[in-house]
Amino acid sequence: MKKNEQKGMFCQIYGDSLRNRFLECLLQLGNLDFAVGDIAREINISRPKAYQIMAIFEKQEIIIKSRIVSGTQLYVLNKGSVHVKVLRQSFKECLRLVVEENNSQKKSFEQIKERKEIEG
Amino acid sequence: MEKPTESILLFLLNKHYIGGKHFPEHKLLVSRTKWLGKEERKVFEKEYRSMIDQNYFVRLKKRTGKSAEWHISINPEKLKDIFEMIKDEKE
Repeated sequence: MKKNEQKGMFCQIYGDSLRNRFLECLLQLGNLDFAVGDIAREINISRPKAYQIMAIFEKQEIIIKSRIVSGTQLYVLNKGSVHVKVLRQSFKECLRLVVEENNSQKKSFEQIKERKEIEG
Repeated sequence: MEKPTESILLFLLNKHYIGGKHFPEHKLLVSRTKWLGKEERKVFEKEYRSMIDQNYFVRLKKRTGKSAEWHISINPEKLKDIFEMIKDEKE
């Protein structure tokens, strides 16, 4: 991972392995279909490695083939899979944590402001 | 909500691109609209522009190298609304 790349909440909680980064990317895409090369570029891994991981996920029925556009096979998250439902729920909880963190930061800034005003 | 819009919101929220932390807009839009047809793209662009007008996103022009690019992040005041929208979509 490059220095400038931001770690997502999903990887912060579940660990920064290749598999988790791949899953995080899939969950971020939601219901959009995607190509293997796009994922490889986004998470900064080689295409052969991305194809390897894709094959594993296809076997586990986490992703399925959706359509072919100009010779490129596109895939999509398998909504019917129990694994994907669980992953989506946990991803939703990760996003809830992000919102709560942001709210708590806001409150602490406001408290600091109030104290400064009181102190004059 | 359109699929690319949902995907953009999920990405920005997950990676903490809120308020001052921002991401290049063009890079994000291209990655999410790459495989869309003409009509789908038009519908998405309309929705995206309406979200910008409603201040769901913060758009800034940032110096990058020799030129400047538009960068985007989530408006912290609209964070709860965005989360509710995403939650409803997923369910």
